[in-house]
Amino acid sequence: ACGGNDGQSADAGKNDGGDTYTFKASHVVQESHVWHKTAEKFGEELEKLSDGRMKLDIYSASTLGLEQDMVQQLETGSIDFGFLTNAYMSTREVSLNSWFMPFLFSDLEDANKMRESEETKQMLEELGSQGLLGLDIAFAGNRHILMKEGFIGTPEDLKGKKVRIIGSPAMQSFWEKTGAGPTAMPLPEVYTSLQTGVIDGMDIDLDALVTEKYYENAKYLTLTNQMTFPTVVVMSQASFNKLSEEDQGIVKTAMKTAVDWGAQEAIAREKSNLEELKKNGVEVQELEDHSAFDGIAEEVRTQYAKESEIIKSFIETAQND
Amino acid sequence: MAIALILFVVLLLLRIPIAFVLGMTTIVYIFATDNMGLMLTVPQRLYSGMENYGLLAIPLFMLAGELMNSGGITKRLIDFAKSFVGHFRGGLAYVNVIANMLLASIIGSATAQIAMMSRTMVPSMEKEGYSRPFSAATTAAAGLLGPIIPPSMLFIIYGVGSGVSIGSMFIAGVLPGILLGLSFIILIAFIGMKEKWPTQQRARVSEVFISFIKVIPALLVPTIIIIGILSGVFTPTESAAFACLVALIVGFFFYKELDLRKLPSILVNTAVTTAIITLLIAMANLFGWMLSFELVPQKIAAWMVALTDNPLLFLLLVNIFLLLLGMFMDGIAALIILVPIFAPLLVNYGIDPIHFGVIICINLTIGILTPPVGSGLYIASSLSDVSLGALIKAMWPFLIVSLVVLLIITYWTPLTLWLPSL
Amino acid sequence: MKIVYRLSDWVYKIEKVLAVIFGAAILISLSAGVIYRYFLKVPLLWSDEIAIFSLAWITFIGGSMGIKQNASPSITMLTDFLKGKVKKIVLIMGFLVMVAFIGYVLYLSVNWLNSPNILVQKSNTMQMPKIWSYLCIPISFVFMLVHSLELLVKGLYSSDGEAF
Ligand code: NA
Ligand code: NA
Repeated sequence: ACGGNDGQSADAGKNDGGDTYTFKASHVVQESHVWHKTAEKFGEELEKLSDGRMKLDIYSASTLGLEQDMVQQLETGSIDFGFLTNAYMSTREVSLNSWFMPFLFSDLEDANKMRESEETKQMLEELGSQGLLGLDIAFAGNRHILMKEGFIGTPEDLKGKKVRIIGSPAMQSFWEKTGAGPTAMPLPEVYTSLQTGVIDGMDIDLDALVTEKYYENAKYLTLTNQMTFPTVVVMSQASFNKLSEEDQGIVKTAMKTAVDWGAQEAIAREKSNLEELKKNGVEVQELEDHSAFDGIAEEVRTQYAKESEIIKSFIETAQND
Repeated sequence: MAIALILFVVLLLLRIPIAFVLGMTTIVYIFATDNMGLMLTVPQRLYSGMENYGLLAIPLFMLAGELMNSGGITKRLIDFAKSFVGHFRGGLAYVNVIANMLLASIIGSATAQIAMMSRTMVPSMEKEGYSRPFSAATTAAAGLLGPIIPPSMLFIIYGVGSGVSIGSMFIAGVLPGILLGLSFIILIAFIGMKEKWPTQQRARVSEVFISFIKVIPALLVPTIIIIGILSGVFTPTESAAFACLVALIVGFFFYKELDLRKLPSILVNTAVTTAIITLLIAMANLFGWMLSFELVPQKIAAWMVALTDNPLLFLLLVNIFLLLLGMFMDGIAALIILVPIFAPLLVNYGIDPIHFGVIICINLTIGILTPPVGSGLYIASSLSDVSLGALIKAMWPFLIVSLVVLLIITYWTPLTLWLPSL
Repeated sequence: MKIVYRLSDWVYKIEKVLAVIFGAAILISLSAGVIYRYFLKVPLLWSDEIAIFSLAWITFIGGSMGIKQNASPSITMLTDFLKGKVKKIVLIMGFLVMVAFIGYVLYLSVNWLNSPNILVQKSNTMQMPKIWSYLCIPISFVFMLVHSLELLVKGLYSSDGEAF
C-alpha cells in the first residue's frame, strides 16, 4: 500500500479528478507466467479506466514473502492485491478445495466455465472473514502427469511410482488413493531428482513443464486433466474500504477485464505449450477414458463434499454442465 | 534509505551481532517511512524465512562435522594423507592441503574446517620445523576448499536464494575446488624449493597400507554421499542426514571413539553453530524484504545495465565489488543480501546462474581471510596463537593464488559448467 | 542482580534440552523419510514438515543461546580499539539497543499471534495448526530478553563494559 514515497495507498496525493493511488500487487510466480501477465493487464486497465490516477507496482516471485506473509500484509493493507495459489488458500478456506476435485473438468475451458458459478461467488465471499475481498479466480493450465517411463492409463500404471506432487491435502488424498507414492518435494530439487531417479514422475501443468524443461529428464506426458490449478485473486479489505464508491467500481471492472483476458490467454497457452513440447520430442498421449480413475475420484469427492456444502453443490453444478 | 545505511553502520560499530543489526535497521525503516501496517508482518516474516527445505542441510552438515571430530574420522583422514605425501619436501604442507580436500568432501563450511585443522595441523607442522605463521596460513588457506568442494553451505544458501538446483551447484564446485587445491600445492612446492624445507622419511609400503585400511571407514562418509546423490537414493539435503548417520556408525562401531554420552552436548553445539547462520538468514530475510519494498534490486539493476552490457565487464565489476565487500562483511550475510539483487540481472547478460553462483561463493569465501573483517583469519590466529600481522604476512601468497583462480573461473566457463551439463 | 543471572542460567538449561530434541528430530525425520521412500516404498509425507518445524525452533532457540555464549558474529573493530570508560559506554549502548529491539519484537509477536487468522492456518501435509510452529518466535524472544538483560547487568558492573 505504499503510495510512492509515503504511507498507505489510500491517502496518497490528490489531483483534480479525484485521489491518485499507487497500488501494490504481489504473487509467487515468475514474470513470464500468465498470472503475472494478468496482473500487468490489470495495471493497464486501472490506468486507462482512472485516467492515469491509479497505478500498479507488481512484486513478482515472492519478493514480498511466502503466501502466508502476503496474506498477513494484505490483512493490514500493506499490500493491496494478491494472486494467491489455490493450493495455499485451500488450507485457509476449505470450500476452495472444489477446484481440486479429481476429473471434474475435461479441459481448461471447462474449468473456466465454473468461474461465474454461484458456488465460486460463495467461496470468494467466505474470504471476507479473513480481511480479504475475494475478487476472482484465474487459471494456469490443468494438471497432467509426466513420467520417466511410459504413459498413464489406469491407477495400476502409477502403483509404487514415486511422484512429485503439490503438498495440498486434496491433491495428496487423490494421489495416495492411486497407489503411487506421492512426495511433496520443493521445486528447485525436482529437475535433478527426475534426472537421478529420486522421483519417477510428477504432477505438472504445461507452462511449468515448458519453462523448467523437466522433459529433458522425463519424456512421457499423459494429458490427464485430473485437476485444475487456479489462483485466488484477492484485494485487501482495508485498502478497498479506503476507496470511493466510484473507485471501487473501477478496481472491480479492471480486474474482471484482466482475468477474462488471462483466462483466454491461459487456454491459448495450453495449446501453444503443447506444440512446443511436441517439437522438443516429448511423447504425448491423451487420457481419453478416465473411467479407471472414477472410483478414486468419487471417494475424494464424497470425502470433501462432507466437509463443505459449497463443495457438494460445486461438484453437482460442474457435473451437470 | 540513507538513514538506514548510516544506522546500519553505527549499530554494527556498537558490537551488536550482525543478525540483530539487520532486524533493527528494518524496524527503524518501517517507523521512518510510517508503514506501521508492515510491523505486524515482522514476526511472520522472521518465521517464514526458515520454512525452506534447502536450509535443512545446514544443521545436518554442522552435525556431521561435530560427529566426525568426536568419532576420530578427521584424525584418520590426516594420517592417511601423511602416509602418502608426507615424505616430499614440504610434505606436511601438502598433507595439510590434501587432508583439507578430503575433509571438504564432507564438511560444508570454511570456518568449521579452519577451526578443526588449526588444532591438529599447526602444532604438528611446527614440530617438523615449519614456522608457525606459515603453518597457520597454509591451514587457513586450505580451509577455503571447505565450501567449494561439495557439500557446501554457501552453495546451499545460493541455491535457496536463487532457485538454482543445489545438486547442480555441488557438481559445479568440484573442478574449481580441485583447481584451487592444486594451485595451493604448486605454490607450496615453489616456496619449499626456495626455503629448502625438511623432508620426512618415506613411509614404508606397509605403513601406507595400514593407514589406508584405517581410513576406509572414514572415506565411507563422502562415498555414500556421492553415490547416494548420483544414484537417486536421496536428494542433497537428505544426503546430509545420511552423512550424519554414517559418521555416527563409523565413529561408534569402527573407531570406537564416539562416546554416546557426548551426543547431547554435540547436538547443543550443533544448534548454536546452526543458529549463527540461520538466524542471520532469518533476519536478512527481513532486511531483504525492506529492500524489495523500496525496489532497491530494480534500481541497482537499472544502474548496472546502464553501466555496461558486456557480461565479462559485468562479472569483473561484480568481482571487484564483492572483494571489497568481503573485506568488511561476513560471506554468508553478504550472500543472503546480494543474491536477490543480482540473480534477476543474470538474464540481461546471458550469464548462467550456476556459473555466477560459483563465482560469487568463491569470492565471498576469500573474504573470510581478508582483514579487517575475516572470521577465518581470526579463528586461525587465535587457535594457533599467531599474531594477526604475522599471519597476514604469511597469507598473502595464498590470497594472490586464490584471486588468480577466481579470475580463471570467472572467464573460463567450462570449468564450472561442463560437469553439471553431463 | 543475582536473580537475573540465575534466571538466565535456568533458561539456558531449558534451551539445551530443546536443542537436543529438535536436533535429533531433524536427523531422525529426514533419515526416516529416505528409508521409507527408498527401501520400504511408502513415502513419509510428514518427514519434511517435522524437519522444517524443528529447524525453525532450533534457529531461534539456538540464536538465543548464541547471545548467552557471545557466539553471534559481530564487528569488533571499534570496541577493540577503545578502552575503559569510553568502551563501557559504547558496549552498554549496544546492550541497551539489543534489549529494546528484542522486547519490541516480542511485543509484535504477541500481537501477531493474537490476530484471529492465526488459528485458521494449518500445515499442508500434517494439518497441524501453524501456531505450534509460530510459537517459537515469542518463546525464544522471551529467552533472548533474559540473556540480553544479563549481559546488560554484567556490563554495568564491569570496569570496561565487557560481559564475558
Ligand atoms: Na565441502
Ligand atoms: Na574479510
